[in-house]
Amino acid sequence: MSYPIDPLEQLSDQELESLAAYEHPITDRSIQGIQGCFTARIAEGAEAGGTAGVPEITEGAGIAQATKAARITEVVPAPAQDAVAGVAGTAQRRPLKRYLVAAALAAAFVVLVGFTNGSRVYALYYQHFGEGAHIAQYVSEIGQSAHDQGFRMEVLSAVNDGDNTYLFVDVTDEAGGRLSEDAVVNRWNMTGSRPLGGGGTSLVGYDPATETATFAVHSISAKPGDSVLFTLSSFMSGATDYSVLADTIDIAQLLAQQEGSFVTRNAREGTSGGLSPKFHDEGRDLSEIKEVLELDALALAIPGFDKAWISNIAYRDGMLHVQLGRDRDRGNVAVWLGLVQRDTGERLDPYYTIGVGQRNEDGLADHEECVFEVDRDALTDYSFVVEGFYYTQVFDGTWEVGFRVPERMDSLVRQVGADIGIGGKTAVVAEVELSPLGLTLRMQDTYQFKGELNIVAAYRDGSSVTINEGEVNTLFHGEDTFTFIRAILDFESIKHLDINGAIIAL
Amino acid sequence: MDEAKIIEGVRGRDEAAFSAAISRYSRLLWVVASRHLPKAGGFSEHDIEECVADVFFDLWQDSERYDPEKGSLKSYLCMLASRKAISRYRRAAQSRVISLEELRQGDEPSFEDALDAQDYGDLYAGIARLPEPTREILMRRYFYNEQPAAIAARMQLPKKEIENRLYRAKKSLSCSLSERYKEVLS
Repeated sequence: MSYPIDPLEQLSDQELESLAAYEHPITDRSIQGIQGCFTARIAEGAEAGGTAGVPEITEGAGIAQATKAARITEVVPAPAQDAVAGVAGTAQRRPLKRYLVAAALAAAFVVLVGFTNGSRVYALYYQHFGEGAHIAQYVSEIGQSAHDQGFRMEVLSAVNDGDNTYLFVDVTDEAGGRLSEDAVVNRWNMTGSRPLGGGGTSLVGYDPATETATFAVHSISAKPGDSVLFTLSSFMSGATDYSVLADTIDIAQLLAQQEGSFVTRNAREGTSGGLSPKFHDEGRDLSEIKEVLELDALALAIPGFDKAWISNIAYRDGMLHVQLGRDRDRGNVAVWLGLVQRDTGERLDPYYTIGVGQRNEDGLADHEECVFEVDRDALTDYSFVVEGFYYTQVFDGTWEVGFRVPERMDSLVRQVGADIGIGGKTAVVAEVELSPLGLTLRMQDTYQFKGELNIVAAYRDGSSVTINEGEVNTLFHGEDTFTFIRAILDFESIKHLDINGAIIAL
Repeated sequence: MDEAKIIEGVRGRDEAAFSAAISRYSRLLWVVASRHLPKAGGFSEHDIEECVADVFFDLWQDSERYDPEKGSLKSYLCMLASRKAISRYRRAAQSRVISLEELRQGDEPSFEDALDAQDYGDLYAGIARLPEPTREILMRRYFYNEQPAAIAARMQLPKKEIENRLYRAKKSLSCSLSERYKEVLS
């Protein structure tokens, strides 16, 4: 049986375009969108194992999902509590700061090789935002590149929805042999009419054939039409996880030998660190920590671990204070100190941590004081454990590309002033903004929230779309902005948002 | 790249061949899909884009299913696009209430089913020569299978006017086209 001949086959492209104009107009953008969607379909298929053996597509491998997600940084609204302003999160900031990330950021990690640049860009938007056609019309292809030290950085494209500018950036090791599939951006900046107000980066693809890492960059800064300068100044590669149980250090004996003294903390150094939920629940804040251990009273190596050392220790008021020293230039090392109960294996995390000493240009302190709430008599039962990861390769340099921020896509802004509950606490949503790229919440008094945050957008026709589902944990306080990246079709038709049961009419 | 080269490349999963196929056939498949996924049914350009992309993805996944003995690649892709669009329409119809008219539109044999393909270009040209809004009315009626009432609502014209214009246009086309068209248009 033959394939039926569709009479439309007889029409020319021009006639088809004229015909399409009556219902769904077709443009060159539509063709690019089809190409991008097709490419993304292949990527999805490869990721799901559906097209195993496809030579042009290689699934990212070797990175555990949890680790991958943890290395994503997002939404850093330059909080007063944190000395790191205008710089993407570094490895050291991970311990107690799991930034609010949209699932889409972590969802796709697939390499697309062999397709044209344009189709790759569209495929990336499909992967990253989950949709394509309605976003594609706002995408501005940049295609500007810069070279340094044998690395080529190319800003592929940009799209703007007002406060947020999203870029896709390729970094290629033209010399070869240095860039692996776990590359991460260490420092970047984007300057326009106002300084970088936060943002984040995430690795969204890696092509082993060309040694190209593709990053998504979210910047809260430039305005549409701004001439901006995107600067990549450090990135890292070759992540190596470690976990060292320092059970040869007798904590009680060490305390008996070295009881460190406390000094007044220099508040001008800035305040950074992490809080346990208990610390926060007690209504405390790191800024109230006035005294810290004297710096470098000792230098005790941690057996089996050369990335940090114990530089002081003391016990006071029911708390064990342990000061870790580390090379402040080593932004490539993430270190977490904990206690492990030797018999049960139970892990005790710090009550709080606070950065002290000199800071590098990223605001990273060269010492960190970890404070544990533990009985002194019980210390004989505990051992130190240090965990984290470090990058074997750090590339510092200057890769700069200037471009004009594209016109903003339409968005819907509403002042709401609604209370929402997260993990038993209440936050105030001052303003919501919906755009085709996602939802931005401008919140007050966010401080620390840990708990389920489920956001559903309900359309007037009765349908709905889930914007966020699952746990969030944020430590920022003051007026914060949280962006949930999720393609939203027909956002103007949304009737209300349901945030953990609180209905916000739009 | 001609169709023979595209077919050869498609079989080898050559990305250049797929890019060429997408450039060459997307407009055609777009219209094929649009006929079954009307705006009035709540379908957007995004739906069309995905539908057409799915056609090429099917080809990527299993190019061996295309048998040159049975016809051209173009015809095969049109068949896939039509099936996918109808399937998408039905899926959407399951999740919402649709009017009887919409339902009829989805299942009604299309105008071109009654027409020889080689004459289709001539008919299109004949309709294209008609002035607006008559041209749009005929395009919608015969190329998108819309009912007069739906056309009237969409174009904000009285249904009677739509029917009158259709009648007059048929007359006009009957004078200029062959007997075969007269049967179809009657």
